[in-house]
Amino acid sequence: MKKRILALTLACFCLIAVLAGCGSGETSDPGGETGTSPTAGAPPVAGGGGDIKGYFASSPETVDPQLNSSVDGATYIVHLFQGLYRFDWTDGSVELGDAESVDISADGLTWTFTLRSDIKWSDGEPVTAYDYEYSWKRLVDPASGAPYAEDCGLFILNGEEVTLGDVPVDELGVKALDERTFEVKLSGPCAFFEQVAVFPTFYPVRKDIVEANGDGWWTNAATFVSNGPFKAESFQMDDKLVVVPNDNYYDVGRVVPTSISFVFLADEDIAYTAFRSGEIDIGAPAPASEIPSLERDGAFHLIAELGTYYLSYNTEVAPYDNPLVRKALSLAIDREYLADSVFESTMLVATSIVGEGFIDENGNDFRTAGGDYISRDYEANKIAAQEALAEAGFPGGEGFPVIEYMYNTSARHEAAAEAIARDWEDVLGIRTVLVNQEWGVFLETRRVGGFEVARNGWISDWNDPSSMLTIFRSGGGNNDGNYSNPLFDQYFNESASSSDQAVRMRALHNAEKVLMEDWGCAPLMYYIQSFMASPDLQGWSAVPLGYTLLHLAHK
Amino acid sequence: MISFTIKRFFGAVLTLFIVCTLTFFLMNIVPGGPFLSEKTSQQTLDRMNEKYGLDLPIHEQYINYMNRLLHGDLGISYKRQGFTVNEIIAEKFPVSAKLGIIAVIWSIFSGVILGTAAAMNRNKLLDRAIMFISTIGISVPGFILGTLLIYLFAEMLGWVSATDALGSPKQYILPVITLSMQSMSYIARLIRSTILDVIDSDFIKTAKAKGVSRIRIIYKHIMRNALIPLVTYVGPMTAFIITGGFYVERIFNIPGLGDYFVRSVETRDYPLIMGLTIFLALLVIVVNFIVDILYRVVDPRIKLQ
Repeated sequence: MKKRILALTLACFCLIAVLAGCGSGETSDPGGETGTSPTAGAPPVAGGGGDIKGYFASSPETVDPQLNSSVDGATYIVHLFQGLYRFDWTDGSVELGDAESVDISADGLTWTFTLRSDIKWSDGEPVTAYDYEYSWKRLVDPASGAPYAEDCGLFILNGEEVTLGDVPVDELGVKALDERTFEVKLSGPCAFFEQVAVFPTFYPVRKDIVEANGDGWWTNAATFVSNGPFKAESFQMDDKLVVVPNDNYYDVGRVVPTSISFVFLADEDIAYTAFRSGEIDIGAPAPASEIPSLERDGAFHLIAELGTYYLSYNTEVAPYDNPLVRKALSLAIDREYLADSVFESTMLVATSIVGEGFIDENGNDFRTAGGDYISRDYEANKIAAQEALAEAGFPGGEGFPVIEYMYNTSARHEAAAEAIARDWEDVLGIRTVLVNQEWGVFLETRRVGGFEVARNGWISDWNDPSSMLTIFRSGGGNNDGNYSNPLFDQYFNESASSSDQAVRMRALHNAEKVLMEDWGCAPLMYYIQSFMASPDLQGWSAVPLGYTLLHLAHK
Repeated sequence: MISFTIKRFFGAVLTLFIVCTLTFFLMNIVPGGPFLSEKTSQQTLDRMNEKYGLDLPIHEQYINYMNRLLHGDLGISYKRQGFTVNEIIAEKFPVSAKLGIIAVIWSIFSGVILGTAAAMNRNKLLDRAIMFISTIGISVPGFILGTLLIYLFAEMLGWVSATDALGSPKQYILPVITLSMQSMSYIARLIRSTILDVIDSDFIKTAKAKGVSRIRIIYKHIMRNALIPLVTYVGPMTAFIITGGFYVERIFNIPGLGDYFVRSVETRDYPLIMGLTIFLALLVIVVNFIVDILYRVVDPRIKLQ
């Protein structure tokens, strides 16, 4: 019961967080229409919402929950499947889904889920705890090659050992006690486990279907069996995925669209053309160059996203091993110009690494509680930057080597790089060489630390600040700049080993403070999701993790 | 003829082998990999590489690949999970080929007619108009023409759909025009200049003096001679149009091979890069073979060796 209240509270605050994120969007984007979605008019009848056509990407790599790693794939999955938890269709907050209740042991390590009695697959078979056991083991099993195996597995007892192949998959801490009871043993206390379990990789698949048809089972509507609000009607690679309400879904009475066509298009420019000619009702992202015209027609929407665009410094190379140098470079950048001019208000100014929209133990915004580490007063920042550089031994940029700034090839990143280089030249008197690499090459270069300063970005997987801060653990796989501070690690581990949200949040605030006072990276902007949506389309919404929800959409 | 075919066959096998080997090693030299992404941990990467045999030494990977290739198996796509490369080619090539063949036929047909009309009206208004259009056609790149056509006919006028690629016959019009504009213009100019070369030659004068009809002179004497440079051009052009519609497919959202080719390189989908390269090399070889045969049909003096 306590758990339910917590879930409900979290749900409420998720909503607040979403709205808060959008509120900030409004300030930086006076003309832009903001909000979770247009408010629905008269509530339409189930299945009477018409055929909704949406664009979110080109043909997906997969729509298999365990094998997916993309945001567009996750959008399709949250329509076709459902996990123990689901995203509330009106605001994207987390609520119970296939589980009707959860019982958490006193030490916080064992979560026992009782499944609803009325959940069925689209072919009418009941959804059981055995399906969950199979699917979660499949996720972590090295033989599956699931991209999220480690990230998701490490929460579960023996998960990490299984992914490494040290322990057989049968010893993973998940077990179906009977048809309706699913027991999960965690590797450590995880107070925000519902935020993790709602992640689409944890949604179940059917063993008999997967085993009979292999990894391609989802490519054929005939073998596409799912347990979500919708079921697949047809799938055509490079064309579209059409889904219709799943009659076997317990809550189908609330599902509004008659059908949804997820149209696969090569890029957002084509999507824009399609949007203009009425061939899609909603699309994300909106092409930045068309924002003014979309705004004019009331078709432009911004929704918060939990992610940050930042710069990595190679902290093992001089002079970037000096926190004062990192401070100077970070403060010299005009973030407002980047967000508003270069990115045409499709980004928000960042004041720290953890963005807006993360909720803390009181349901408040983590960022608001933690305050700004980078002032919004650019003039003051410039002076502080010059002082820091002088203190580091390079007054007026004298004797400072030429910076090599690396980014992946893209017009937008290039424009950002040019603006940053100009700031460094004007404010600090430092020259910069811009180097761009094709995406695949860039990823590899950045990973092996072959850069001085590099563009970076991170979109969070779950609504918890640790999902951002985990990047900067010593030796972490995504810690491209090799930032390392034992104090940061100590605080981070403290947060990971506690089940008390208040203790955790305090530790995460401390960890962030250490990182930001070390100037371990230069956060520049927070991501926002931009949408083009027909003013006629009502009832849609989005999760700050990047998934669009069309369950209640209608025209 | 038989010895020519045999020679060509072994030449083709050798060419394919070289193409395979070069592509395989070049592809692996390029930094990055199919499973690298912003978020993959080293563990994940190792595990994925192991699943697909990419953890083996490069020469072993090469031997494994060639071994599978000899059995006609191009492997599975890393980025289109659940599909084999053979399936992707079988599904996507007909789309590219159909569009490409229509574009080839259209560029030859309209190019020859325009070129002949221009030559027959040398220095008159029609000639100048055709030459003006064909100059523009050669110099405007397809991606600009395509974007312009989409803007005009899909976005502004709404006559065709921007997304429903090739869904109905009229959806073919814009991509075919875009794809064939350059070659049509080139053929028109080629035909015009060849005809003008021939038209002043002695045998045409003789034919005219004998009272041979104008149509017969054009068809029997002039066109026959004008065809040789045309065949030379049409061979590579066909291979280029069928396989080279990369940007056109992207602009018109056509689910053909061209777009896959670009994407496979971007995403380091190794089996797909290999499969498509081999397939396209094979296509060029076959087209060139047909062109050689056609030379002999057009001009019996040419010997195939």
